[in-house]
Amino acid sequence: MLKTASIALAAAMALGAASASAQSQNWGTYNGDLMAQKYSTAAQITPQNVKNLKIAWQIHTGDHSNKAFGVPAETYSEATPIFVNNTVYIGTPFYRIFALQPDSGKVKWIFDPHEPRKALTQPGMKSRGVAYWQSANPQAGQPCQKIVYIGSMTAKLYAVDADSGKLCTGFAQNGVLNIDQWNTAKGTWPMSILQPPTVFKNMLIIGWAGKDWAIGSHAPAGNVFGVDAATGKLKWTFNVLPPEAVKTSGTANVWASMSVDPKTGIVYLPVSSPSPNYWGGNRKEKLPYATSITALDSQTGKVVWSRQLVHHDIWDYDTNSAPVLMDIKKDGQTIPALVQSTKQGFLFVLNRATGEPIYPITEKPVPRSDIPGEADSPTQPYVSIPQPVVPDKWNGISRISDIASGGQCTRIFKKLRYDGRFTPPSLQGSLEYPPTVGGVEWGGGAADPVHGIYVVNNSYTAQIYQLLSRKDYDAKTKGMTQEEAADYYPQSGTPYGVYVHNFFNWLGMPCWAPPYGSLSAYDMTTGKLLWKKPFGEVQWWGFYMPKSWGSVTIGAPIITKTGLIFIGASMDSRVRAVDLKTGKVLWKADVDAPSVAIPATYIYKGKQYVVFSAGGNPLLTPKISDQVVAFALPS
Amino acid sequence: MRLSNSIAIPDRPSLNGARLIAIAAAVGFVICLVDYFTPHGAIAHQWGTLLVLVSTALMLWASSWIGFGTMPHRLFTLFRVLIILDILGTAVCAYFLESTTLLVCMVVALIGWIWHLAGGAPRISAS
Repeated sequence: MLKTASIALAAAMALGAASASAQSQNWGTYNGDLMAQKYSTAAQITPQNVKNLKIAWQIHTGDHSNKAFGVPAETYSEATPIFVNNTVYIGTPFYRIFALQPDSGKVKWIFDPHEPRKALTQPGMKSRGVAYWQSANPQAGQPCQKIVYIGSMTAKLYAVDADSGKLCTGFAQNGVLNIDQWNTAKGTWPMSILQPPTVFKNMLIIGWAGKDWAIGSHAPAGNVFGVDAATGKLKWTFNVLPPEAVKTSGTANVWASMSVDPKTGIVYLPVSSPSPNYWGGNRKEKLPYATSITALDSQTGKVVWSRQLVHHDIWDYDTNSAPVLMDIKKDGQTIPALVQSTKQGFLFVLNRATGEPIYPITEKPVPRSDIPGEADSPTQPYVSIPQPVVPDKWNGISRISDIASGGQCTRIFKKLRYDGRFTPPSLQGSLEYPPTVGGVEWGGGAADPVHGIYVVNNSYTAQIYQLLSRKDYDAKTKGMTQEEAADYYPQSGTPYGVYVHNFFNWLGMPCWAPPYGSLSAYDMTTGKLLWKKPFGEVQWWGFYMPKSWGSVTIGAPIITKTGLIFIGASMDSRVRAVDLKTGKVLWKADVDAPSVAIPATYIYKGKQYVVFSAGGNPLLTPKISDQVVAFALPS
Repeated sequence: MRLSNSIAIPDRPSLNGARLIAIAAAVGFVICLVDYFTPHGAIAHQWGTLLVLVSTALMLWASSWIGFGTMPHRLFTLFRVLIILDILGTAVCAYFLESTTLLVCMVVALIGWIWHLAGGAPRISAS
């Protein structure tokens, strides 16, 4: 069946290549465009010549650190470069902006906000990059007709002139907007702006990130803000939580990127889970927008529709990436659709005008919580078409890890509760597969809008969630250093703390059987899987493990008109080009660290470049860097 | 003559074979050294790279001994066995480290070992 599908796909691509719409060859947003398709019409690099790609330029920003929980803190370089205004702009984990010459990487200017190098709300310092706005009616000779924005962990949003790198003093307070002025739980933590704002017309739509997995009931409500792009004035606020829930809950924030339908002006929010993350006994109110996709009018902030993807979320299954907007041709009709990848491994395909499912969503009974006071949902939404990226049941214990650890993996597993997907957290410890680390992470998927193909990378991971009574939690964490207590979260204001950790043996080997990650392509006109392949490689002590194991992945693919997928994402510090038709790796190159950011591609002076930010992510490996590297065909 | 007291003296083909092993091991060692210290290299500062650094160093030392030194016959035979195990082990490591050049070095070393063996039994002299 897959072979037949591949042949059909090849034929469709041959026919469709010529009719590809003339999209910009810029890379104007974190996701390439507002629809989050991560698709480029650039066609210079093809499956035939991709093997000739060479480094065109690279820079090291100097903004990286491997110091855990100190000053400077560890860094997570997750910024996607954008290419607009004939310039490559990239944000760094120290919240600096680099403006680069697109063909040489030569620095045009650097903006430095001199932000404190402290990990206030995250395990390390991180930035997912910058956003860009330009005036529809630019005034000649005036600065700040084009603005680049970067947010910081201290909840500041900086507006910088795109040509000079100087602060736009007409924006908010001398070019700086303090988002924390709208914090509903002051004194907890700042509403960190790690994801660049979404820019549509003259509106900045701003979500924020916090520390909801760690802190409990008293957390800022996850409100989203619409702000004037030129002045920084607040235009609207979307209150995610009902007022009665704000006292005992919080967050349900939008920390990931959003997408916008430019035709309708609707912005699509991936809304995260409410706090406390792993126990919901004090948030029994209906929280319909929590762990949902919510569609708003981008100019007013009014809700158009909303669909909850997890009821009463006690797994930290945040909706964590911008839904990919693509049109699906089905039964002779063109349906405006969106595809939402999720941590729990489902791909929700909805009509983006109404929120109604295009492929069925079924409410199924799930395992029930045995924690006193919990008010878990008896059912959860399931999707079977498209095939979930992570199956319902895990692959079992890894024999190698079990033998190497003297049977430790089996001994741990026997003590755990495991009832398949949606096993609730428990006092004995519950095996979660997939857990909060996914599934699919914040990069989400990519779409080839011409052929209706959707591509997504995922991880297969297992974690253990163990709730600890307050007394046990306090006893266990007493005297621990900050690093020792890194996996213990107090969930303050609740009867339970929680211990969330990877299911590893004492040697640090994963106790679950491979594969660890894969890359998949779906035909969204039928919902059928076209191909699914283990992706990336795992390195242990430098040795590359079998390719069939794949790698845990963080990051996302992009697609070009010529049928190429470019992706970093894997643990092995390699970037790859993959054939969209077959899933075969056609090219790979070593970079300094895992490239966990979404790549970007653009054409400048007739030449196509593919840029990767290879900064690493300590969640994957300790290997980090500050490298930004562009590949191109030799002249 | 008691065999344990005999001394193995390599003849010409054995000597050439041992030289080839030594050269391959030396080149492999240098490659590993560079890989180990290359900033952000794919196998930099990895235990696996350290392991092949040690194994190639041992191979260089052992091949020098059987090529240029004299030793009791039993020890000579033991060295031959250990060297082929070292070559094969290092080759397996090179494969999993995805170090093509090191793998090529081990193929050359293997050719050297076969050449060394084809040289026939070393001349024996009484101690």
